[in-house]
Amino acid sequence: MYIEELNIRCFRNYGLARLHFDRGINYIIGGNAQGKSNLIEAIYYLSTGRSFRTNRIANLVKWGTPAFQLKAGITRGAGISSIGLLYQIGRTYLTLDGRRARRMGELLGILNAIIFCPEDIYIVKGSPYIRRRLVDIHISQLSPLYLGSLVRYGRVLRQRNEAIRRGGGRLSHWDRQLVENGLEVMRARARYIERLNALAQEAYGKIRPGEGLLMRYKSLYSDLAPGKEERCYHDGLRSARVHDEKMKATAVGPHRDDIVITIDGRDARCFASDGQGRSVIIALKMAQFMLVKEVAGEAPILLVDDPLAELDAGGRGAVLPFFTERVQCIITATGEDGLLPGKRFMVKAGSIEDV
Amino acid sequence: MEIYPPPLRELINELKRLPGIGPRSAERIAFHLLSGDRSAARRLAGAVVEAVEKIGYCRRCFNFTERDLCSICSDPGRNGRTICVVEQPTDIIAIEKTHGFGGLYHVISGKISPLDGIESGDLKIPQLIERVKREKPAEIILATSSDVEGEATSLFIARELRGHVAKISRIAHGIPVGSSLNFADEITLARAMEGRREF
Repeated sequence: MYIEELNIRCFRNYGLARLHFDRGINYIIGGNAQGKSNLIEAIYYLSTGRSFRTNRIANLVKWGTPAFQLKAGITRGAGISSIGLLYQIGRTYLTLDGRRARRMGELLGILNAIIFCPEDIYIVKGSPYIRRRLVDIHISQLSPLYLGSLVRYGRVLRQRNEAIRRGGGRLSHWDRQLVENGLEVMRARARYIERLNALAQEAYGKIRPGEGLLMRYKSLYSDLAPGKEERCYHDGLRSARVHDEKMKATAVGPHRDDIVITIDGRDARCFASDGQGRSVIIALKMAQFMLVKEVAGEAPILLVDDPLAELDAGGRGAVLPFFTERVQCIITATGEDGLLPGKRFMVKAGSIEDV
Repeated sequence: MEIYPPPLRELINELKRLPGIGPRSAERIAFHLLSGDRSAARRLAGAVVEAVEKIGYCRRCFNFTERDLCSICSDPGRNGRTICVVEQPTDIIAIEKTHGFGGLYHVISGKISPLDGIESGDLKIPQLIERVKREKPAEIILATSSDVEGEATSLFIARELRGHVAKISRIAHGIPVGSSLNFADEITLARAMEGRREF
């Protein structure tokens, strides 16, 4: 898949901008704080409906303007699609192929992108929430039903927690939906992490031969007896009830899941070196890349924000196979040093020039 | 600086509270009411006052009515053996338009949602339970909405009524009639597959 064209209006430090990308390598070149990452962020936002830098969409609006708009022309398979996003006074409006979409979720899976960015290190070193979020965004792109289960799970959970805070009483009318949607979420995560782990192990072995990577799904799910998941889950909720009431929140469920990453049996969150951490990230992204390619039937695009800051010498070699004619890459760089042939955009203070 | 005279500002503020009316629409409606022939505005005000004073709730089913019992509850042609539970009086109108249901209704006036401070006791659910014990219907149809809260509300009622009524059913969710499967979203389609029936 390729992003052919990107139109920007009032996004971050950009006023009006239009970019036509090559199907191979595209470099976005500029000094610090000129707006390179903002372009990557715009494309990522079109891909996932989220920013990798902020949870506040209002932050994406150009200072002093009321709204932003992003439009992209995309080639998928033999067809051409367009995505339009308009954010205005707290609301986001999505247009797909000129038709107003009913839900933001319809955005997922249209423009598949794998991103490398400085924030990636938190996948290894950060809290479980970051790993859950990564997995959730990615599964949603592969399977539209997943997002529905996840959103309903979150809603039921908040209602249930509020009911507990208000003094409990009966909760069983929430529990059925909690279990139903919670199981959907955990099943999908378990399947996904298993496949991701297999691919990431292989990739990691190529980057750091002799070291063993393992990504393990740590979840209530592994405590549920196969074939009796539903009943076990209900039992688990029941026996946690006293604890729930003390903590004023639901103790068990996929909102407590984690993906534990170990290298040679040691928890990467605490023990991985910088180099190992970066290698884990590369292996993980390569695995995601291959999964998307398998499910969507075509390669996702690659967004790379400051690769040289992120990858050590070994890692750079392992990422190179991505940089082929068949995969579209959009890469930020501060200068011409060491760049491959490809299209170049020069960015300076929010204006873009084709070279 | 205040642009509008206070009574006009007040009118716009009140209109803005109405469902589906934004600040722009509120302004347009307010200006429309005040421009030209104002007898229309007076008639509207009169109708609002009259409706507010005269329309109450049916003692049996909590539908809107001018009398003690609503027109459906007092219709001897309706089948009192079946009670359909809905969230709002507007849901009754939607179902009545189908001409496919000849039973009675019970309006619970909302759905359980702790996040909005609404518990079962804030709804007309205790009254429904009393009514079922009293009237002993053969079937309860739960027709609350299909979102998380509507689903939980139906489940709550079903648990409360267990043992008091022979049949409790939940309306089906699925593909709109006359539409192609292509246009149904995945969740609706998955629900429709789950709720399939023998053919």
